[in-house]
Amino acid sequence: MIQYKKHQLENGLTLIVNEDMTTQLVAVDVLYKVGARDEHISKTGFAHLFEHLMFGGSVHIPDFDTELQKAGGTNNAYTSNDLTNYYDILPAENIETALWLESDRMLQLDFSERSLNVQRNVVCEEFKEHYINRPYGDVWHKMRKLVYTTHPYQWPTIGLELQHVQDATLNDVQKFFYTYYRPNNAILAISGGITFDKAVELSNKWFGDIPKGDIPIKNFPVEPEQTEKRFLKVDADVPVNVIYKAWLMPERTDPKYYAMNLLSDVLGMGETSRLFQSLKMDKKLFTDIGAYITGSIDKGMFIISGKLAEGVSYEDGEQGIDAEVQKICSALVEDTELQRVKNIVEMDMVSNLTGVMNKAESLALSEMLEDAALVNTEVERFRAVTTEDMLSIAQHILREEKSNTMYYGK
Amino acid sequence: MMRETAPALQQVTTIDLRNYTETQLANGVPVYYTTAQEEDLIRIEWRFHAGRWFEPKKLIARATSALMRKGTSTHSAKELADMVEFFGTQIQSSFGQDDTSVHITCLGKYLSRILPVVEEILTDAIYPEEELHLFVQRQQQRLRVSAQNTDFHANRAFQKALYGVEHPYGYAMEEPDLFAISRQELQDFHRTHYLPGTATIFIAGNVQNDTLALLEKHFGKQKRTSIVSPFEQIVAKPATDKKIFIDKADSVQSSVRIGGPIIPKTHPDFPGLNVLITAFGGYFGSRLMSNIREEKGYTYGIYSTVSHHTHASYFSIETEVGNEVCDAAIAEIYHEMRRMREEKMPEAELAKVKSYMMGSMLRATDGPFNRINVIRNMIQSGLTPAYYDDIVSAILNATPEHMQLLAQKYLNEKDMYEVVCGKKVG
Repeated sequence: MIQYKKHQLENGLTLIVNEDMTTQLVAVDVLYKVGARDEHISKTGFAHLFEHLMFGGSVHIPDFDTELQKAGGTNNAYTSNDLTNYYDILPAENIETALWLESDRMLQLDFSERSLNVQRNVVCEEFKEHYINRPYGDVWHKMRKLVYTTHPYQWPTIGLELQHVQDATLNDVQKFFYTYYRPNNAILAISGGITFDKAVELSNKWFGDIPKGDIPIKNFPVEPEQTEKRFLKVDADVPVNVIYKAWLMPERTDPKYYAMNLLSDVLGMGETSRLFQSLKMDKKLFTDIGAYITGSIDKGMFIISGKLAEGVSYEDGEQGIDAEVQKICSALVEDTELQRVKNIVEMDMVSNLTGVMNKAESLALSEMLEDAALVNTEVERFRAVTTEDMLSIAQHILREEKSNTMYYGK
Repeated sequence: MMRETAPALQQVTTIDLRNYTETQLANGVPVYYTTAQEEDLIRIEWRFHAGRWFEPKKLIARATSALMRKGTSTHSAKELADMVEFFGTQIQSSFGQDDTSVHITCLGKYLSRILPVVEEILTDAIYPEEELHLFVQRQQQRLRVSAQNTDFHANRAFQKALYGVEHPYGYAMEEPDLFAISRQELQDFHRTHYLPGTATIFIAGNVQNDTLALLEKHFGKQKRTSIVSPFEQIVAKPATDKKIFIDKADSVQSSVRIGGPIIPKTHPDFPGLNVLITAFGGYFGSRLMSNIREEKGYTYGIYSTVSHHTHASYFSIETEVGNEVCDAAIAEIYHEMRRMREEKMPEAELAKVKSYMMGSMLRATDGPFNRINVIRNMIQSGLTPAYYDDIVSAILNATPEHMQLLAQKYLNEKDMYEVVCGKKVG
């Protein structure tokens, strides 16, 4: 259980505080409700590029990192398809430095050609290092394009192509900032050695005068129901052939999400999972196989992927997968299987509540999703799932005509 | 409000590493623990002298560590996995150059169900032939996948250059060595290196009275034995040519590794060197990062570190850069070394490094789950909390003069091995 208190500033910034006096540290998490799904298809990769620019200096502070390091702090950030998250961890007595820094870059970035130039290059190198210079680096570019025809989840956060990042202009940057990086589109979560009252006082002091913005209503094109099986073969010079099979699944806040999440664990999480035991150990079709979900806010992906054993054809591998999918769609999972995956989820959730950074981040993410209370109550939603729920959702989602299969390799 | 003025700062000046308990099981197995009871979570690590330094033949340490959970005389791999996964956890093993570990993290309420399985694995692992076969196949696939990455080749070549291929720290996994592993060798290695009596145990989290009683029951009976390495007399055979280029024509980036052998952490210069290396390339505001990423945009990241094995330490700079700017990036690295030797570090920069390092130590020791890792490193290196007092005092009292002196001693281009894997441009 995390104890926390919530407060909203007049400009719409939501503050959530977890007091933890057992630590000498404090974590400050600032979540902006903007991600790659908010991008235009001709300007992809922008939310992520923007995350880099947030470290290029703000209106009163030329160097974010230096100031934080002087306070003994460290920070990082990430961009997903749904959101952009920034966090700082520093000695609790220096918390004001983090609030000073975060509020200044929320107030106004220092929009400079120099910073944009450098970060464009850094992001292009990141693109090359992770998505071009690496075997299987473009798997999710291909897979997203296959699964999504309409929704902006069809591109990964790094962007569709290098060119989009290279074409970004200072004007784009400013527009993006004033559209999305406003207090009423952000959540400030604090965990560590600070009282709620002090946190409210300091947040008002540093964030209180930042004007609110006119946040566009999120109105993403809805991905239509899939009615025909899709297939893609990617010829790639990789040493191991891989099969990916994906289905569109319910939104993150849909009650059916929980059953689907547990279903992926029964199929493909851990050494006792069905895919591991049947297709890797017994039939020896794969050397590695798993099932997982993307956990996105809008309709996400339910994915099975496996590395084929040497000499096994794609078709035989896929048949093996199909047989297991068929099985889970035709009979209830065992009670012990369900109990196992529920215990795994509970364990993950408890682990996620240790350390100031985990706590601040969990609070912010829950608040964006629904409400901060979710950090404590979500485990109950998992516990409530029955084997009948799982069968019914499996039959509804894991249908052949709704599947997307990719053969990747030789 | 004065947004131009930074809020007042306080410097962290102490790190508390004395906050742990040391005890022993009846057979002399040492147990160290740090407690916290907010969540019912417990992490236990069994540490063994069973890494490469102790193996009789290449890859035995790695294979043993990977396969010990794959069957005992009474349970199959699946049954063993079932017995712990049902309680939401896994028994994990990890492997290093000197030591290896077996560890679990679980809810305290399930500990009594997990420990018997750990005991069974440690005392009765049988290494089924079929599991070994699968391991070999998997590693072979992994090797082939990794072989497409420039960093894989650069890392291997760098270790080889430092120690030579006959040295346990220097050799790289090759396919023929994989096929040469036998089940019998793994069983033999396990029986001498993994019996519970040879372990050191580290615990963090919700430690209760019955936790220690449970450990005593499962791990306190077997005789304590000591382990001898076949490599006590080995001498590293470093490469004679310090510049190594590996051509990978289809790459878009080059992996660069620059560095060489360096003093161990017990050397009197080390606490100061620790500060110098951090300033040079050990954090986001370092000289290397500021110049090569933030100013030039040549790379997504560049770092320098000192890594310690039990019997050797080395300094390394690692980065991945565009092929076309590779030479320029390397020139900048040496340029930054020269600046460290020729110019005194500005006081403001040094102050920033000090604050960063103290904050970093605070983070590394915050909470029982972090703190136990530092305590483990300390115990395993034969150090005491007083050593960390020296580290802290070297940070707080570092001077520009001393930094320059250390740079002149330890940051010289002529001492550096330089490994590049990528595509030659121009």
